Amino acid sequence: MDDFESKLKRLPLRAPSQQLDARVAAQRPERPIQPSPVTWRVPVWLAAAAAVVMALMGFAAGTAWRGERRVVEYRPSSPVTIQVIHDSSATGNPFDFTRASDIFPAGKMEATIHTSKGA
Amino acid sequence: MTRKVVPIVCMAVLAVVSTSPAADSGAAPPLPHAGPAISSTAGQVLIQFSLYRVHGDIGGEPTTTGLRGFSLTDNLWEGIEGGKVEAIQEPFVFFVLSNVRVAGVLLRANENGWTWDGQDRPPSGGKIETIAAPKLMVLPPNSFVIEISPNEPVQYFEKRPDGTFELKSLQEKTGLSLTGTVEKGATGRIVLRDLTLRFRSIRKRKPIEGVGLDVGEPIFEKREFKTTIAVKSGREYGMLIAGGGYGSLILRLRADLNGSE
Repeated sequence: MDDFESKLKRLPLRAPSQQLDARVAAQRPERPIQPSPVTWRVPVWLAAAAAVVMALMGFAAGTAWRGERRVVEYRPSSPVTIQVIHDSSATGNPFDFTRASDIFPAGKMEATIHTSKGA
Repeated sequence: MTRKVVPIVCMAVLAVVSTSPAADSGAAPPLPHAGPAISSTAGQVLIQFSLYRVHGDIGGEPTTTGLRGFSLTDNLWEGIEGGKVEAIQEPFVFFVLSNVRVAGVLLRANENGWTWDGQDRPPSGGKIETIAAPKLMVLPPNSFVIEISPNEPVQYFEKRPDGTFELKSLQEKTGLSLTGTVEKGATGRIVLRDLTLRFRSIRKRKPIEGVGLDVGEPIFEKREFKTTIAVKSGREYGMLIAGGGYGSLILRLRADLNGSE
């Protein structure tokens, strides 16, 4: 510290001017300044909810942009179907591969069984 | 705590813009097993089946590859990746050529068609019965289902304690179903993908004490055969289905592209 600085340090400080404070206060507008939208206060819970929603929307947007989960609905046409009812009343069941297919030629029958002794 | 609202609004706007339909305008990925895309010139395929019941023996001699007298002179698995018979539980013999006696009737089959003792149809009243001959028109790629079943219930005799016999009926179904998907093959053939034949029949009957006739309670049998084949348009193919008992079935198949016979 040189001599000049020492002299400055020894000088007494002037007390705050009450008039200056009053003059500055008098220059303030009567109506308070409206806060800017960028300085609105929002609750923490609202900010957190908005962040979650934005994250979900951003994830969906990214996924849709990349096309990884594109949902493609494929509806194959219904098959051509034919059902054939075979009239087996006269010829017997064609899917009977026993000798009974020759014995049961009709759907309704009356049978009489005769037992005879051989000679 | 102070949060800036404007950046949040900007993110929301960006997200909405990004998820708009304009961002989803890419081409759809190919679909599995969807087959080739249908063009405006794609033709339909007429498929004709005939199912014959043979009440008798087949005249051919059995060999390791089928029956002597039946020949498969066409590669049914041409152009099919990994094409092969996936499951065979009983003899299902494919053939194109035939020169055998079927229940006493000479069946001649070649690329020009089939004849039964020189006729187009099996002799009426004989031991060869035409069960069904369905035709269907399919626009490939599309699938089909054919079900053939008798209308009469299965019957059998049951011996009563007093020695008499009662005729009984069962509601269990017998029959045959054919399913598959018709596609156009890469080599100009018609592909019948996953051609599945399900077959429910009566192979045996429980014996009745003291009765020599085969009229007891039926024993049902279910078999399934699945394969993918590629047939030539307009060519006739046969498939011998052994019933496992008395007689057999013969399936006749023909597919025509664009419905031309």
